[in-house]
Amino acid sequence: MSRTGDDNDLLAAARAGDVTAFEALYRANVAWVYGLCLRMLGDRGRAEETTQDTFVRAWQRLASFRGDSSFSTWLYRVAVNTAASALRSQRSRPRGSADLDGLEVALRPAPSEARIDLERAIALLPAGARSVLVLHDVEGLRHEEIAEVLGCAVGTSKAQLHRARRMLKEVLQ
Amino acid sequence: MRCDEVERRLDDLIDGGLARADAERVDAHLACCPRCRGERDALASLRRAAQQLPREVRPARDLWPAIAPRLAGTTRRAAIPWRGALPVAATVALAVALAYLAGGGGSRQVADRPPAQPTARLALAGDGLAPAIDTLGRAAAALREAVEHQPASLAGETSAVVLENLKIIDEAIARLHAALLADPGNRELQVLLVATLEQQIDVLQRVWQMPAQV
Repeated sequence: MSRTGDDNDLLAAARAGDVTAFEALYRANVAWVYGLCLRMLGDRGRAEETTQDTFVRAWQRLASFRGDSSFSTWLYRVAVNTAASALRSQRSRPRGSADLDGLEVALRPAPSEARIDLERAIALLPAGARSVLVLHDVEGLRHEEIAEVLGCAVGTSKAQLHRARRMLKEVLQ
Repeated sequence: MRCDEVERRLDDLIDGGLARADAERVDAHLACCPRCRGERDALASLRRAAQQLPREVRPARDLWPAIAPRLAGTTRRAAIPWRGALPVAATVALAVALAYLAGGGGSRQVADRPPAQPTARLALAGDGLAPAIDTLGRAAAALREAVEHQPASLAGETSAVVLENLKIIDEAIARLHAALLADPGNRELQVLLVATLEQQIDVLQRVWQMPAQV
């Protein structure tokens, strides 16, 4: 997994309260944070909100970052937890149709039709199935990690992945 | 092994999570069942495609202008890289306020904490907060005047968010002042007012440096 932005000087400055340094960290990491949020939430507006929340949380918690892992690994946990939290609140809100226009515009290089189809199909999955599929197949998390992040049993994570893959297969056939 | 038993194990098989004995039984079935083999191949292909999706997706618009004002709303005590010199009155008022926070006010050097924690602050606050409230109030007023007269202006969206935040803080301060008029000795109200004034100063400080960033 390629995540950039591990600049010790920037990090030290941001921890000291330098907003400009934190903005540089934001710019180096925003694409993968947004990608994660967009796929987990399946909605551009909510992905933008959650990306913003992720960086605000990261700013608030920078002092707790001890450097045991890379900054991007630490930020990844913040992002996944923030997206999982947004997902829980999203379930109580009505959801419109998947909005992937922004995603298609933003993809570089231009995506193949098969990839657009896959992105659309993922976005249309039910929230539970979608989040597990994204975390497992796209992000590479293990079921144990997914269960911890989403607050569910390992068996539930496996069942959701099973369901998500069958639904995707049906949609894409 | 029957087809339905194999189907239930296909996810674990393609993820490499199936016990060896089970995997051998499934493989034996797949060797002689084209339908299950086709299902396995389709799922494996889907998994590969998902794994190959690029993780990076650029948002359609820059999100930083919406993030920056929210950072200002959080209280992190640290050296602030000033965009330029503040007017003398604001600088003096702010210096007095910061001196108070570093000294008599104690407990204000926490580098990173949630915006307002009245309960914790109650335990930390000293007696007689009226001078602190007065000092912080004057610092906030001087800063606000400086911010309102700075030549550069914020971008429209940022400005709206900042003004909304400041309005909320102003309303809270007004309510606390009113409550203190009715109950001047209420220590919890005093502490809340100090915390809110600190937050207001923090937002104004951030606004002062913001035009260079957004």
